[in-house]
Amino acid sequence: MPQLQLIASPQSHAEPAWAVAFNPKRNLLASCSTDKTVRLYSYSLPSSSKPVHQHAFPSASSDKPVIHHVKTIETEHKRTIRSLAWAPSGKTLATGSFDSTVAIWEELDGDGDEGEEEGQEGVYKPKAPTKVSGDVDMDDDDGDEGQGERDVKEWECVTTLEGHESECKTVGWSADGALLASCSRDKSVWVWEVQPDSDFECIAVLMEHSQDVKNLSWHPHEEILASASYDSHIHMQWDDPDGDWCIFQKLHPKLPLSQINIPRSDAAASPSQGQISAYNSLVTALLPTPEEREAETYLNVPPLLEDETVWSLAWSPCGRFLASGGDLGGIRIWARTGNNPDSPFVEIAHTAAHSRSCFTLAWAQGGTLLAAGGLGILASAGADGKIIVWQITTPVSADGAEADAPSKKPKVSIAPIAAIREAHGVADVNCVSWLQREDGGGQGVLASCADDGSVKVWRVVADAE
Amino acid sequence: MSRQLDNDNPTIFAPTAPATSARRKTGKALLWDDRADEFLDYDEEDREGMGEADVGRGEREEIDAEEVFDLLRSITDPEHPVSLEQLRVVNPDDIFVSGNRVLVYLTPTIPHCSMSTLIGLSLRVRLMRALPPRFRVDIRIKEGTHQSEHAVNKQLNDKERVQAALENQHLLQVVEGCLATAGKRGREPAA
Amino acid sequence: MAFSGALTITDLDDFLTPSQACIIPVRNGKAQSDMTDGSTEIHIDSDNNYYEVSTYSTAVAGPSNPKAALEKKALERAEINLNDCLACSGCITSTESLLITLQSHLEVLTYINSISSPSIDEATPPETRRPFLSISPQTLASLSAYHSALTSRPPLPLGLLLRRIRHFLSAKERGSWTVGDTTFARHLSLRESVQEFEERRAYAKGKWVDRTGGQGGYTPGPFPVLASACPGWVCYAEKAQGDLLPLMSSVRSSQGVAGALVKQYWGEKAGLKPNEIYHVTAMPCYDKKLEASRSDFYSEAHTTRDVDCVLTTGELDLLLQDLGFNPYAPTPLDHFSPSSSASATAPWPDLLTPAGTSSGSYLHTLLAHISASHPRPSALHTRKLRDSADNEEYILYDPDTNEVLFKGAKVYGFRNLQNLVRRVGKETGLGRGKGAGKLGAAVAARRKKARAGAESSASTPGTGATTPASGTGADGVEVGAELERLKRWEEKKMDYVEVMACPSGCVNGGGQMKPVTPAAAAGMEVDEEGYPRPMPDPGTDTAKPKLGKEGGEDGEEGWRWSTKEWVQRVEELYWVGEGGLLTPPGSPGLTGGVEKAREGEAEVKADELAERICRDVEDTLGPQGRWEFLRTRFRKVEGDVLGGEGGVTLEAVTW
Repeated sequence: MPQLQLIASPQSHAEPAWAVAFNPKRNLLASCSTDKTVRLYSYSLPSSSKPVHQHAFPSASSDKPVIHHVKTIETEHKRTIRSLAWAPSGKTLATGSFDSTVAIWEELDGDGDEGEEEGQEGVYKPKAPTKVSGDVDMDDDDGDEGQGERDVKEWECVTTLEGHESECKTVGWSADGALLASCSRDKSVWVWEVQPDSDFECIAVLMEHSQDVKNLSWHPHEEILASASYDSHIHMQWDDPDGDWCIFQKLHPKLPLSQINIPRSDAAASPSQGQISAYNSLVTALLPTPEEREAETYLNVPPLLEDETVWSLAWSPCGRFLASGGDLGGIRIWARTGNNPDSPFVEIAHTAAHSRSCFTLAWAQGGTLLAAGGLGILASAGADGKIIVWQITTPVSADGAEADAPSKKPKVSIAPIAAIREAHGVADVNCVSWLQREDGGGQGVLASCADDGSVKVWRVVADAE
Repeated sequence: MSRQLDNDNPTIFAPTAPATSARRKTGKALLWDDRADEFLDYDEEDREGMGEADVGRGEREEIDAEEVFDLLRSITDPEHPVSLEQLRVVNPDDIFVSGNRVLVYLTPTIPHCSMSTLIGLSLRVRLMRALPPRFRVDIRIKEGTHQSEHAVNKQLNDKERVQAALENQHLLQVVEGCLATAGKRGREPAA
Repeated sequence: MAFSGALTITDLDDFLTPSQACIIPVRNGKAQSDMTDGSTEIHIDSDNNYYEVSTYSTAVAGPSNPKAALEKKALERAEINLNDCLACSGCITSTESLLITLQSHLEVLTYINSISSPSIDEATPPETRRPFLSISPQTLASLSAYHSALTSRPPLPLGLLLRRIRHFLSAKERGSWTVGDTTFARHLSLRESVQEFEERRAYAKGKWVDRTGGQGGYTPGPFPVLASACPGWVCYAEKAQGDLLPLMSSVRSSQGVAGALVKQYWGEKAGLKPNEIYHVTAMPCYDKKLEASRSDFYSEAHTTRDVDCVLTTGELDLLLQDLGFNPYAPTPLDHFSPSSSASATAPWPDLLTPAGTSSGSYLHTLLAHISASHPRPSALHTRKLRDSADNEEYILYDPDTNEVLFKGAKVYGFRNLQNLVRRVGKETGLGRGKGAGKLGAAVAARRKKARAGAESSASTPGTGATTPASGTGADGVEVGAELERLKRWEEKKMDYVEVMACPSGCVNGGGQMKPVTPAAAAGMEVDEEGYPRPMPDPGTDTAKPKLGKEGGEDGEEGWRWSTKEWVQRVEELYWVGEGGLLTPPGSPGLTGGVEKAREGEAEVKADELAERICRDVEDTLGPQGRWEFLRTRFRKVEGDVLGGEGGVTLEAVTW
């Protein structure tokens, strides 16, 4: 039974931290906050971090990645920085702010004339102090930090994208980095095309949501954009070959909630002490405490009767499934029912997950092998302070092929494999993000950030310590 | 269609006696120093109290509904120079506390009161600042007292909107105006 | 009124509707006592239903002084008028259109009723103003398309439709209206645009002479000239892009010129003072109402506006339907020769439609002018950016020398407008530097240098355009020359941009008739009285409108039009001139040796008349008077309305 292991709690933001994201190419993690800064952290993976096989999680006792804060970008955003996103090249960072703008950041070229920057505050220092809480043993002298980003230079805002009338809520790059999308409380979704010379051209303004647009997510390899709104809908958009960018489907959740399906067989099959302890911690984290039950019963808070806000979206790595997180805390899975870019999606699952809003979802490869129907691991977090990692699988037939043809309504199983309550103490968890590297290293490493400004890095380990 | 005060002649009720919570009666240490309200900005004052309150989860201070009412009762109505208690917008019987959770029902003075979202925001901000951060607060319009009850409920419980609202200087100014009297905690009429 | 609730504060949502952002009622409360300027002219009249949207009593925020607030509220009734709306940045762009139900067809009906049956009520003075209606050509095209689709008859040519409306409204019981269209005013506007363009050129070379002797306080702006005929764009620019205002063309739009023409020129000929004329315009968009409310179009001396009431196409149709107008009923004016001379009934030449665009041909007029004034033949290269007809670039060059004579663009629609703003900001340096970060000038320069090296052989940075591919490993003289030409095209900065806020331009304005629905068509009794006058319908089947994309097999269901096809239909009809002759849109004719657009008899006469009017105005009022007659100014609307006001209003704080 896997577990979530805390591996670092780098220095906190002064105010709520809203988003974290690992750079896809460099050993960097970024976070942003109401304090109007972006913080950059360097990480280095232990040399033994390559998994035994592609999807295995490391052992809890193996060497841990090391994380350091290396840089704070003082932006000129005038309000909360709500979201950030790295371009696939890893060279460009986009930030979206409540001040309605999107800023594009690039690291200054290393022409040597920034020599004066060297040695200043924020430049990587091998002995940089890291605040680590609790039982995590953090050793800066770890000999495996060779991959860390030693050389983080100044980051400059190369352009600002204006146009939204009110708070920008999410920014996101398309899979190939050619397009950038942003969404806002002004109910619109904008698509920008990246031009040479740090320029951007607006190629679409989609205004069909009836309320603020909370989140958006690009398909992992096609130019399909999903957006989620306070109006309880998910819009699926694409660049119609016969016309302009348009919505090809509006999804509205309908399935009733089903209970969390906690797997039992795993612990029973190999009842080592570690497995039992891990299983117990999973169950404890997922189920309400007696105090919570009592409060639930006593308060009997009337449900919000309007349809729930869709807070979060995440595509499966294969691109056939989309997960959405709702205000009531449930997670829904949508499946594409065809092979065309605009093939319709159907809702295939709705599982109970969090006891309050599910603010964030992240889906990456890992866990069960693809051949065994593994669709990757999904992390979720939210206002109940929990982080939950789910193993998503789809049934496979004997010959290893997926049991269902893509045109039929596929089935998936959503099983929690690790969970932690009070991941950031009493604070809401606003964002989780998986480390995803081309070399497969660092699989199962997860960053999270919370309302108390804290940023934490976790990893999924194969067993309890 | 004339834009009047939403409720230009609200019923004003006499405030109840200052709350005496069970904890005060027992003489247990207070979370906040009452006298501090008169001298300190409530924000600072509350933050201090909060820090102490959350030291060591094992022996955390319990807070009851009356204390929550105490925090809210003297907030000034955005339209009238009287407290939410005097307008019966907040009532001790409509506040529930259990574990780390607080539930507050607010009762608009009239069913189409457009100030409901603003009052709700003031309540939320007050509790956000004054309660230890472990508390999760739900605010609901008392059932059947507002024509757009559900929409208001949804907005009041969207934390992203609350955060954005607090970065709106104009809005914040009004909220601060309402909260300026909150520290009185029912000891005297707000006006 | 459908929108009458828009200004109430009871809405719960916090989205950017005027109801939430509008703080004017309370702010104005203070200034009520000394309302002397023109801005208070448009009153919100409590007994007029179209005004009812915006009466407020002053709610005093905060707990400070409740008693005073309660006592005062009965007395102080704050009001919102369009001018307030223009001066406020509380909300952006088209949200004002919600406010603008106050100039409606009901107001005109009230006027007509009061003139046909004078009130016995002594309190209200009898209506003595002479009515004048100016109709835009886009309005006529929309009405023609609508009534054709509604009745399954061939569309009426615009000239015929105009004369039928003219005849219908000239009846005494309807007020003896004078009816003209706005194309002659546009003709003046276009001529003035050319003049302004030359002024800016002269100014840039230091050769400009201020003929007003400095009175006007006007200096020609920099390039590119951004057309200002679209009020939606103007509104957006004033509120969100204040730094670009110096680029805006100072020439009045066709409506603006029509206002001056009617109230000052025509009025004088008819022996009427400006305030003795009731001038109504019919326009394709709501934002024209905002434009008419601008302070430049208000006369202090006569306490009157150049345009008293603006109707949208839809509202004009409502008015005409209420009065019983049947567009297919023949009139004595039907066979009136389409002469351009100002006849007894037409105040000035009808329907001058210069080749170019259906949004006014501003760009093409300049192209024609530059081409005509170039001593050698010129060639025109056009390219659609991103394959969109709403975003086209026009490059006029000398094919012998490759000199770029003029670079213009047609930019329609909100999305393209965003890119225009970015592009112009980049080219001119205006409106930059308010971003989230600061990129040092040195750093920017170095980056640019670094990139320039990398891109020297790449094709056309900055556009995803249909530029002919220029091979990177180019060798040979031909390719080299082509590359050189492309390079020059790229490097040339923009001279003129015809900007329109609506995709497809004015024919697709927000106030135009909506596509005919099956229900509307079924509900309409086909009136056989008007005999069909088959008019050739260029290029399309005259009998039946095209089926909408989503139309089913079933006949009735198939009656739907897609928006795209509908706009296309209106666009086609716009170009149907007198007698059903198609006026070509024109850009093909410009390629390779531009001819002066449609140098027909009508145009020559119109030019003569325009010349005479301008001379008359200048003779009477001097150069400054001429300037005021044909030009206007734009003002930046400050970002923070509440800044400096001190007080915070409850209306401003809904979240």
